[in-house]
Amino acid sequence: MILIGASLSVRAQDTLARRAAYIGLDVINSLPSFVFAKGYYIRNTAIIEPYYLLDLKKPGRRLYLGAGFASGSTHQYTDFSPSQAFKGTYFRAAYEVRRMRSVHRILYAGYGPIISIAGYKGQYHFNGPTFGDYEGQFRETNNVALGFEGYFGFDFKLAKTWLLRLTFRNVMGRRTKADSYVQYFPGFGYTIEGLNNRFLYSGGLSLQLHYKIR
Amino acid sequence: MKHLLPVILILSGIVVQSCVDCGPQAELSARIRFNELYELDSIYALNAVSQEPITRQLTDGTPRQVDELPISLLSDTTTYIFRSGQRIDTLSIYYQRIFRYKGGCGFVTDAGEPATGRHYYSTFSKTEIDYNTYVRPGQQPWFGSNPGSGISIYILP
Repeated sequence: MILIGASLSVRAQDTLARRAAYIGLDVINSLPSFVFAKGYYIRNTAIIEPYYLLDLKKPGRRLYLGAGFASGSTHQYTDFSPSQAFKGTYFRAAYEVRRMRSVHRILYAGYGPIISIAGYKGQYHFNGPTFGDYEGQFRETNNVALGFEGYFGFDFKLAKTWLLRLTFRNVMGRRTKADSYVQYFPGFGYTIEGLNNRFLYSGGLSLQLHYKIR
Repeated sequence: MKHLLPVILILSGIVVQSCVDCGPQAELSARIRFNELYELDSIYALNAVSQEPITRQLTDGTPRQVDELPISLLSDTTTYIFRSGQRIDTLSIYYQRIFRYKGGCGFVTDAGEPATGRHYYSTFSKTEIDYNTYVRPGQQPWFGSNPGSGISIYILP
């Protein structure tokens, strides 16, 4: 059994020889929402984003796969745009090109699709001085958004097996259903108030730590 | 003269500036008009937590009348009792409450014609009720904007 396993791994190494692969994790995405819970646009939000990088056959080309989970809430925008609690899962893939800037710093750029499934809920309030106040609720589950992401950034080689990735990204997408509005869409990010409720556009930066597995 | 074009551009930008009608985003009121001289002694709304917003209008005006009747956010009907001398009248109005999200506003509150059933119950000799949105769709010009007029009631005592 062990022999078969060993021979298989040897064969795998033969075919994928010198094609590096990394696994990584976003390390700062959720931090500001806890540290600056009052000022940041989301608060107490857990964001977990694992990544997988695989060098392609063509030199300087790479496949980038990412998953993500986010759970938290937004701030109240106005009296009539109340705080929203959200939860979502998303997946992204990208084709990446890189250029060596120095041995320790590599510039890269990539693009690819993103899909996100999210749910969110909240409460709104209307004052009724004569007959009493009205409390309304909104809730949406399994809201699907499809989008396209473009990004660029730098890889910093920390050691032989560790890679620090700083990524600046722009993402736009469309929700398949837009019955109620959304302030933060997991995987897409902050949505500008007043912009079309169905269209999502956001940008941001991400800092990831990657470990070379092959 | 060199700066005339930018100035014109900025000014025309201000003139064509428009805004969206968000409506009251609070407890709605129906306009009420009595088309005869009718002096109200008192008015009372059923299921109200406070009569003050209604009675305040009575003490201010001459003749003693009301212009606006708040309608309940919690029910699709509101009933008022009017007293004028020896005469006591009842008016119930029916409507359909609408709570929705509107871009640029947040959540808005609106009321419309009930989908089924009667529009009012009244002991006045003639009553008319007119339904109009409180939240007018589309863009509103900055000058001479025309916000939603809401529900209007006309009464012949």
